[in-house]
Amino acid sequence: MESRVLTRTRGVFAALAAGALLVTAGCGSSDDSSATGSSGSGGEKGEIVIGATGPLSGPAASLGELYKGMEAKLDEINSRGGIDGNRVKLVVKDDQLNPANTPGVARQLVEGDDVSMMCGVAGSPTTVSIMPYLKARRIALVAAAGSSELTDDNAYLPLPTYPSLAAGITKYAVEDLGKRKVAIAYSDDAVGNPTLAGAKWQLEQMGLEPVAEVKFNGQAPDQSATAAKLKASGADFVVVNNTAPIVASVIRAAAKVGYKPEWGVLWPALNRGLVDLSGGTIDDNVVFASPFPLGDSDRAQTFRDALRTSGQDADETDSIVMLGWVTATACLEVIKRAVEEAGGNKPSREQIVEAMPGMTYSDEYVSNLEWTEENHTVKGEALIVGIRDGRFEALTDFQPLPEAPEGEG
Amino acid sequence: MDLFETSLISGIVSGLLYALAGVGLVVIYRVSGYVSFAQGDIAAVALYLGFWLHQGGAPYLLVAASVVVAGAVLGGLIGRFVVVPMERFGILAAAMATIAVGITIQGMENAFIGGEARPFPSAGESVALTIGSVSLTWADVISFLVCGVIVAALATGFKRTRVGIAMRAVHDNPSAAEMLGVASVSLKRMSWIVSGALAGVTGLFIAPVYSLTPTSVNAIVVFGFAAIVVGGFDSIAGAVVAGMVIGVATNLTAAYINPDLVTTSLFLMLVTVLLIRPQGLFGRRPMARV
Amino acid sequence: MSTTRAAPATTNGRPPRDERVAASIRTGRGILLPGRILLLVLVAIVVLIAGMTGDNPLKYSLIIGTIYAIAILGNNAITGTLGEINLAAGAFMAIGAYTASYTLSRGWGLATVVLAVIVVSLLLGLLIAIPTVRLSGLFTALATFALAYAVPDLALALSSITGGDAGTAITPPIIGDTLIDGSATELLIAVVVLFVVLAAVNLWLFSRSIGSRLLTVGEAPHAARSFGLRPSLLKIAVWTWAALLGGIAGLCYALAVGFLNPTVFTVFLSISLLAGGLVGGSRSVVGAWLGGLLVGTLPPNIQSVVPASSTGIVFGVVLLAALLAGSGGLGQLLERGTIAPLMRRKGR
Repeated sequence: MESRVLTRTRGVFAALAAGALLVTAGCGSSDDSSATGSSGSGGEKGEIVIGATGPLSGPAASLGELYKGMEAKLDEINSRGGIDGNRVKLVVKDDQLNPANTPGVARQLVEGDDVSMMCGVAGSPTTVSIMPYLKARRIALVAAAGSSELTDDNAYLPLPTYPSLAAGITKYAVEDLGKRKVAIAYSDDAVGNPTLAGAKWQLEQMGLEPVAEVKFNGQAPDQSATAAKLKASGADFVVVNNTAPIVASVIRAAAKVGYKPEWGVLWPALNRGLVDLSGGTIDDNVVFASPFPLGDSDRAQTFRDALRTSGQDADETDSIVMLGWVTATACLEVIKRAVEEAGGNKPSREQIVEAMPGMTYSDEYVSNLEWTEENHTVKGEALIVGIRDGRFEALTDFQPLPEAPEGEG
Repeated sequence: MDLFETSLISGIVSGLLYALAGVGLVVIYRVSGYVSFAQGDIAAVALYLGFWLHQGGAPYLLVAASVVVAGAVLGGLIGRFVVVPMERFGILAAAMATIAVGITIQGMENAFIGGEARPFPSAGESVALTIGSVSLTWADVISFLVCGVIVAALATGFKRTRVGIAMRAVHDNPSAAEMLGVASVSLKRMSWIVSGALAGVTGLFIAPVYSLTPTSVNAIVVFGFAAIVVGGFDSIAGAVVAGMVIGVATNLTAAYINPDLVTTSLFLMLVTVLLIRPQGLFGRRPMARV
Repeated sequence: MSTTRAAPATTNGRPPRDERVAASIRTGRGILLPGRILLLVLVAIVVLIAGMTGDNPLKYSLIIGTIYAIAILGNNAITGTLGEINLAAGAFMAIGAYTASYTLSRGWGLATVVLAVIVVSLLLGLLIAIPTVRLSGLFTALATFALAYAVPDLALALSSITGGDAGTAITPPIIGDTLIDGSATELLIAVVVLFVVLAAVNLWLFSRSIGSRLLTVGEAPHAARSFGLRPSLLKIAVWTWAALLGGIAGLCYALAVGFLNPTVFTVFLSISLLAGGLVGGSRSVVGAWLGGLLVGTLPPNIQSVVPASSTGIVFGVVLLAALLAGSGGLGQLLERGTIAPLMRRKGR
């Protein structure tokens, strides 16, 4: 009974598959024609298209929530007539957060959809994979991420980076909570390594050393070894930065071995889901460093209203949604400056790139954005957030973050 | 020493989940000779249904029962209309079809539900007992019991009941079974229903721990594959022991070697067993099929 | 099964031409060889014209699609002749890609980089092939699945070579005055020529006696042994060939994308390559190309037509349709529609 993989032919189905191929080829050529239309060249009033690549499917799809925040912000602006009469539209293409796909879809956006700038590109490796291309084409980029490696000539970040946030939460632990034994649990990636570097730098500034640096792999189903190593270090404060499900799995594993330190977590895990995902092992033992105001605070009233008006089905406490909002805010400010430069018309790509350095901006959501030729990130402020009775609560006001060195040190 | 003890005990607890994930795969293999790569995706759909019921205020038992039933129904439909018909092109084509079904299901979940992680209710999060430094929740204890019951039921089911014997006959010698009047196609369909229900059961224990996303159950099913290969496809109890061995070994890898080598150690274990003892640690018959 | 049909002998003792054409379509060997080469060249011309006249996204996706096709060509040797499922084609690409990035970053010239990729791919391919050929059927699929699943983490663990999650930016080699990267027409020409050459080698080898030996090993292993063939040696050769082509594809991939990161080489890449092979038809070289173009160009381009989040549905359904179409796939369809009628007519 040897069976060949497939031995027979069904012409109908082969024809179906052939049809799919033709559709693909068709799309390729249809993009050809649209590419010749009006473009980043600008000149008159029109629709300004901003493009983003991000995970709309695949294992990292929860990061795609950020586009709900972006859409809400754009809807808010467009409902008030856009920017000086120019409407702004967001086109998101799916790359599954896989850098193998990003260059392809980014080329589609730039040359097919003819975007004026890239805004809200998600993920570090994915963004890095298209930065040389965007740089060569002189396209402005504002990534929705916190790794300082995501900046270059025309690439800026709308929020403080992980090293300074990790330093901020470490400083709070030592100075305000009186912790002396600080450990860092980190994944060996663009999220974990800068966090490790920032926390270590801050401890050094205060004459301390981490009691443990525990590497973990977020994809491994069992984090008990991570938990046991942290427990053995005797740390009473653990800095960790990852997505909510992964942070929750580490905290859960620790609780299982009877280890309950105070956890210092950065904003990517700050959402209501984290508390639920942790299965009751998180209550008052977690503090967060967040550059954003809380989504359910009074300060974020306009954010919530905009989400509702725009009809986005999003968790307003999810920091990822707020990340989208903040990213869109920064991009719209850039476009505003560029529109002014273009005399009220749709700006060219070049005008958008030139509008980035020298921009300063602050509102309820964005603190101290001051982009210059030298500084492409935000030396901003952050909030320390705790959990009281299952709700997030600000423990401090917005405070300036330590200026930890960028890079992975 | 604490590190070793923790890795050991948690490894056994996780290993049970791996085994549970693997057992659902055995049922289809027993009858048809291939495994389903869509097991985690069937579980995910059933779990989303359970999640909404829970949101609507349904009690846990109802949620759990619905997930199992939904898994059985979905598994039955996929087997009936997609995969079993595909067997006429060979069993590898059928295995590939399960991959295609899985991708399609994930695509639908992403398009219509979204990929964000959702918390799934657990069978009980309070501490039931403490062994050494590790405290086990009621969910852990219940998963032990459920796993034990399922393994015992399947093992006796395959050995003693008419259906079980017929299933083995269909696998071992399809044409002879056909001649003896065993309706192999309906047995195959039934195996899909049973395995769909088992996918639901597995999901009930995986989702509370690893959250519910379109891919979270899939991540564990890979360990389930390893458990049944290492344990031996024809030994259900073997899969349980193998699951625990894998749980402990991967934990020790993470603890003492490098957490980034967990999946590599899984691969090495699998290949080593396949080369040295292809029938698995506890399997009896060499696998001539396929 | 359906491949064995008694052919009525004609006067010269050979089966009639129609039968030989039909057999040639099924096996990928035999009488249609000149037609196949013609078809290959035709597709090459179409791809080149489309790539050179189209815009950059099209050019880029044709480059990526052709690179996938090179890996699929190798993988098809496993699927089409041995009848095994290899879910680790992406692992072979990872080997080539990381070898290329490692050597390029050390300032090696392109020629030595290519040599290094070939040597490393052959060695590691052999290392993987030797244990793998002892498995068969489902077990090959499971073992290679586990391998593909381990690759991204393994790349993290070997971060001193791979650059870890931060990734490795590829220093594009400069030939003459041209930077060889994903927007370069030169790269498109290079991968097209490379594919045509490799496909021609594939066709030639397959039409020699080694082709019939391989088919015997794949379809009737017991008979092969009684003919005095050594199945495991032939199987190792096939797997190593697949690893070599995967490695070459990985090298081109590194150059085209310009950036490598462990998440590139997920199990989904391997599934895509296998699926591309099945859609195109695992015994047809033109089919491999069409399959590669499909998996390389479908995901980015389809997003202009369907919502971006539902590309997975399209991919899954196309794969199912291809499975229902059987091993012939697009390649066989094309051969049936174009060269087969020509050859039949010529015979009359």
